Formats: sequence, structure tokens, C-alpha cells
Amino acid sequence: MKQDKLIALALLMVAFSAVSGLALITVFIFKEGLPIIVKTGPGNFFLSSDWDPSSGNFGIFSMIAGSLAVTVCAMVIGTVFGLGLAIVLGEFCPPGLAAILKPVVELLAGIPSVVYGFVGVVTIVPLIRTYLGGPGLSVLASSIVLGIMVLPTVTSISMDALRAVPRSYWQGSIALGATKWQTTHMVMLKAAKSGIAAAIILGMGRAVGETMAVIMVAGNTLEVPHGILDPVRTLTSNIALEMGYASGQHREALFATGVTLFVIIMILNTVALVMARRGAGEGRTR
Amino acid sequence: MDFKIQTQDLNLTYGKFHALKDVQIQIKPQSITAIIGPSGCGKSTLLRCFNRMNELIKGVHITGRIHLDGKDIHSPDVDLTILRRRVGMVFQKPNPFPLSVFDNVTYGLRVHGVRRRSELEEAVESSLRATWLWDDVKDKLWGPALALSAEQQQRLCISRVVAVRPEVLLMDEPCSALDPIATGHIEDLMRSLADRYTIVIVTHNMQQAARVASECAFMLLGELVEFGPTIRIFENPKDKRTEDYVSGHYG
Repeated sequence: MKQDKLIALALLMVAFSAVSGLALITVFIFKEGLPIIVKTGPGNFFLSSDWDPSSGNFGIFSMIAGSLAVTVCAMVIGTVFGLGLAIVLGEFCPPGLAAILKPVVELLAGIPSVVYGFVGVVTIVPLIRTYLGGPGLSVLASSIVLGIMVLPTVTSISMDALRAVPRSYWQGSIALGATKWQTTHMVMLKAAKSGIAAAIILGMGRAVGETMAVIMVAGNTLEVPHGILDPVRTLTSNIALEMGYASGQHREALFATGVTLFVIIMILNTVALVMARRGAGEGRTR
Repeated sequence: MDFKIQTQDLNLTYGKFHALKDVQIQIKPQSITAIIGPSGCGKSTLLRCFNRMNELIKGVHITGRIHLDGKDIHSPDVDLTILRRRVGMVFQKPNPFPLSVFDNVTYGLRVHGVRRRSELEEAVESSLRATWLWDDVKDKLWGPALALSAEQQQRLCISRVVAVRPEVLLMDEPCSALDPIATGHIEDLMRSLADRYTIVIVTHNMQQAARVASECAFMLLGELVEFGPTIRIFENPKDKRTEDYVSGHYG
């Protein structure tokens, strides 16, 4: 009995320190980043594209636009392929093959992001430069790399969502004369929609936060992109590129960039969580 | 007389398991035929042969013939989607789709390419009236089907099948998830539908078979032991095994 209590106490301390570590990081980022936002004025900080730390101009709009452009395009690619893969693996391919392919897709998540970036620079960037024009380092290149990187998240969570749909729906639809494809898009996808939405949002969180691979293929220029072939700098890249030599206000501005990123990802994760919860309540007979 | 469904030497194996053995059954049109027997006797498997749902299970092998209106349903020119439209199925557990009541009833029609709004609306009203559900749900057509009671859900599933104007209704223990009052309602509904549809019901409840069916088949271990008018099966069974079952010796 005494031993149980000791272990419970020890575990409680471990849990507490993990959570408080996270809390401290949050407090630290906000403490470092918020003052400069207030000083520059939120309007200037978020809506100006003039980022020139040496003359004290800190406007991150071009990077917000960059992150947004890259993330949206990456999610289009990631959703089309990720959801498509989930549908094929879950509904159309033989279960034996799915049992092999799903872990393979999940293995993609284990590849370090620098490797994705490297492959992107060596293969995708020159292809874009040659066939589509522009510098190659671009929104498109980053979106393709990120789209592949979010595949495991999107595929595996949407597949779980599709699997959680009661089989009786599938049977009912087939028994009415529906084809497998009609059943998939008219019943299964609708029944799994909140889980699939959660998958896409979690993938989006990953895409927004990804740094290394994006730095390598995005070009990192400080301009609002006008097309998918333009180079961009994302919020994450900005922090990673400049942290090494930043000091004073410049350093604070980078923390403020981190605050922006933090808030964006918190919002996405909360939405995903709410959707997943709502999904868990649906689809049950009373 | 012409039978609606007729099988000849129907055998079904599931891997090494011989689930149906030389089944011969003749089902009369516009009547209710019940298939009874203890769990695992193959009654649901036989039912699922009639709309070829067994083929979705891996390792199932079927030999012998099944005729629907005299035509072999396994012949290569049979369109499965049309077969399943003609031979509808209601499942043990009510399984309305997680869509609105309206979308549930019109599902089969939409699957078969009906898009005209007026046609869909007509079908919804007539199918829901046929299953006595219209007055209960006419104000909730766009509400979620899963919000209905279990009995209403099962009636909705029947409406969903009726909406595509099938010829045969297969019912796989349609009342086993319902309370006795709801069961009574569904049985009344079945009797009312029997003058338009050929109904085949699988049930483990002998009293239910006696109440609704004009013909009754008793199955045991994959074999069709006895088949005939319900009254005769219950009051004057020829086979000892049938007699033991209907008098409650086992099962």
C-alpha cells in the first residue's frame, strides 16, 4: 500500500513537471514576444510587409501570407492524395494489401524533414524551374513537399474515421443496389465527415509548423506571393533563419512571430479536437 | 403455380464450413414465408443468397441454382444493382444512414439515378405512408434519421427499401432489436405489405413465424428439414427434428 502511494506521488510529479514545462514555455514565448507587438502596434506588426530589423521595421504580413499560401496549397495536395489513399486502402483494396500499405504510409512520418527538403531541392525545384518557369524555389515546391509530409497524418486519421463507421451502413447501402463507390461517397464519407475534417486540420497544423523542409524549397524572400511560382518566406522559416544573429528588438520580434504561430496552431488544434469529439457522438443508434 | 423464388441443390460453403446443404425451397409470390431454426442453422445465409449479399464475404462458394421469376440470378447477364433493387433487404439492427429522413428514403432512388425533385418527394410520401411512418415524421423529414426511436428507425429502413419498388422483401430478424409492442406493429406492417410484396422473414422466434407467415421452413445445421404451410409445420410436423424444435425440446 505504501509503495502504491509512493509510485502515485512520483507519477504525479512527472506528469506535473511535463505540464508545467509546457506552461512555462508558453509564458516565456508570450513574455518575450508580446511587448514588441504592443510597441509596434498590432496593426503595423500584422498588416505591414515591411520587415527590416536593422531599421526597426517589424511587419510580418508577407510571412503570414506566405505561411497561408503554402499551407492552403499543401492541404489541397495533402487532402486529395491523403483522403484518396484512405478511401482506396479502407474500401477498395484487399485487406491484406491495406495491412501492408498503411504502415508504409505511416512510416513516411518518420523520415526527417530535412530529407524531404533535400529531395525537394534536388528533384522538385529543378522540375518546376524547367517546366513551369520562375526560380523553382516557390509556393508550389513547398506545397508539394508539405503535401507529401502531411500524407501520413491525413491518411491514417481519415482511415480510422472511415473504419469507425458502422459496417451496417455499408451493408444497407449495398443491399439497396448501390455500387461500392456510391456507398463510399454517399454514405461512408458523410458518416465519417467530422473525423476527416479533424484529419485535415491536424495535417494543416503540421504544415503550418513545418520549418526545415520549407526553408530549403521556399526561396525565403520577403514578399507577398502573387502566384504559386513565386518564392515565399513562412513564419517558421523567419524564426529559424534569423534567430542565430538576432538580438534586442529583433529577437523580440522573432518571438512575436512565434506567438503568432502559436495562436494559429492552437486555434487549428482546438477546432480539430471539437470536431473529433462531435464526430464521436454521431453515428450511433439510440 | 409460378414461384417467385425457387432454389435447386443450393450448396454454400464458407471456407471448409458447409453452411447450406442441398437446399430446395419454393417461395410463393405475395405471401410471407418464414425461415426458422436455431442460431447457426444457416437461415440468414439462405436469405442472403436471394440478393447475393453472401458474395461480399471472402471465401464463400455457392453451387446450385436460384431462380427469381424463373430466371437464374447467377447468370452472367444479371445486373447486381438491379437484382438488389428487385430484392430488397431489411436488417436485424435498424441501420438508417446518418442522413436526414428524406435522404434515407430517397437513397435507393438516387443511387439508381432518379434526380427529379417531384418524383423523390412523391416517393418519400408514398413509402412513408406504406410503412405508417408518414404522420410521425412528416414534420421531421429534414431532421436526422438517427434521432428517431428504434421502431421508427426500423420502419424507416423498410420505407427505404419500399421506395425503390422491390418485388421481394427479405427481412433478417427485423424485430430482434425491438420491444414486444414495436414488434407487434412491425408484424402488422408486414401483413399489410404482403399483398404487394413477396416477403421472406428469418426469425428465431417461432411465435412470430406462426403469427405472420403462411409458409414456414425449418432449418437445422445447414439443411432444410421441412417446408410447408405454417399451420402444418407447427401442428403436424412430419420430421421428428421439426417436432422437437417446434415443441421446444431444443433451440
